Amino acid sequence: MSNSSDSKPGNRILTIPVRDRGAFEAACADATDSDAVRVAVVHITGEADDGEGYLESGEPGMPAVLAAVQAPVVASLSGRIDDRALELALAADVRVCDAGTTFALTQPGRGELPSDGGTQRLPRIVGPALAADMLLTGRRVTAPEALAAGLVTEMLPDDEAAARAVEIAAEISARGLAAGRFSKEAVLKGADMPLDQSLRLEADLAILLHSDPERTEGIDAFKERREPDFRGKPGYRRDDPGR
Amino acid sequence: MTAAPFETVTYEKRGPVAHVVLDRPDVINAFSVQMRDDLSEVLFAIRHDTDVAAVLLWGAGDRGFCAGADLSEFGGAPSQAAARQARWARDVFGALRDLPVPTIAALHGHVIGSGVELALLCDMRIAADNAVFSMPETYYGLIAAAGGTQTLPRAVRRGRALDMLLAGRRLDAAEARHAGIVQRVVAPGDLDGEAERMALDLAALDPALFRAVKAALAAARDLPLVDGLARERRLSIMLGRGVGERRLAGAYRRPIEYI
Repeated sequence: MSNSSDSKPGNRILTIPVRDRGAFEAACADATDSDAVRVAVVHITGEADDGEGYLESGEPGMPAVLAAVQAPVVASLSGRIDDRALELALAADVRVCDAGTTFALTQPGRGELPSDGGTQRLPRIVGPALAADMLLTGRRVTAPEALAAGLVTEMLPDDEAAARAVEIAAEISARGLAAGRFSKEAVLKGADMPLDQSLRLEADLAILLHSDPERTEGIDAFKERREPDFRGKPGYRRDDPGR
Repeated sequence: MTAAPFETVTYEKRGPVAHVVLDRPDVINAFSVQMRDDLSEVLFAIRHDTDVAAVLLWGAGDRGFCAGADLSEFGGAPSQAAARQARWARDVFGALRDLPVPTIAALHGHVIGSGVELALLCDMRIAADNAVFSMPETYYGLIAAAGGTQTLPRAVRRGRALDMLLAGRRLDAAEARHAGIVQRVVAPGDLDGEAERMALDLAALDPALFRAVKAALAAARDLPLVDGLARERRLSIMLGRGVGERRLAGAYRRPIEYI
């Protein structure tokens, strides 16, 4: 689906590991700091409560670390996406799942409150009614219901979500790097503002983007009726000395 | 009754409904600088025309409502400071959102980028079942800049909005209705009639009631709940006083004194 699949996906598309806290944090830092990373993918499976990775508690929680990533993050979900696994998924930007995936927050049933975004990101993504249902009753939500609610935006036959997430990441990686990061920032930061202020934020980001060489390439490509080619362009460099 | 002609926008009043048509069908009504200026003038006229009780926004031609911003004009801003000055000197998108009468977008075919954004600045949206919605900005290294990064997540919530904005996911009309972009979907042959019927229904609303509902919805969007509830109460009281005043004015056959 993307002409970028022949580029180095390990470079442009960074896979964030979730079973090793140190590797997870290093990858998340890379997805913000490295201008080679255009998009990140995270594969979240909930098949076993093995006590590793995202099941581990810690400060800051893994969802907070993932949510701080500036690059767009695509998550594939399969198995039982419960509790911290769900909270981690909610910190991604685009979510797809296998048809057999289920979702639940079981902490309230044990007298605990989710503490890594389950009470905050969930209602912002699925709406307050379903969030209250999941939080108060612990009800397990099926993949079709998650799709209908916008918790995921695509449901795949079992075992295909992970590959589909990489495909979506490849599509994102062929798009503007700063454009993707700015769009993500506008959506997430603007959500906490009154609409008028959020429109100012969007406009300022759009005009900041005028200085981006990829924007120039994109406009040139449109005028020349060809596909934009962002490969080999310097793109957005946070360490650019020109500031 | 027809107002002065514009290059890229057709403006016609039919009864209480102002029909505003994006009219560059050879380029699927791509939103150009000229269109921005023409639409600005039309919206200014509508704002000050007490005969207009509702606005219906269309796209001319068979292919679609609007193909998005006219990128062939992009890249020419003299400076970022000048671009920022120009953005707010003529805020056509704010003018559309803030019209004091109900606005409806009637959508068909391609509804792309700024086309989606224009529609989301209206109060209601009706679509033909052949409409397809997409936000391709990042494909060209751009970000949505007519409110889309803000209005879209407020319409469809965060996950779906990011999928469209970052990954370019397209929605057909049924998906757009389920997601919350449009409120009605009809057969293409029925779009004209259904949209006009909706506009006439909304034009028949008490204008004070419409403005109160619009202000209350803005409060629900922007304010903490406790402040939104207080605003709702005030709006309700003000509207109630207005109802009494309108009855008195009718009984004594005198003009309404607006509060």
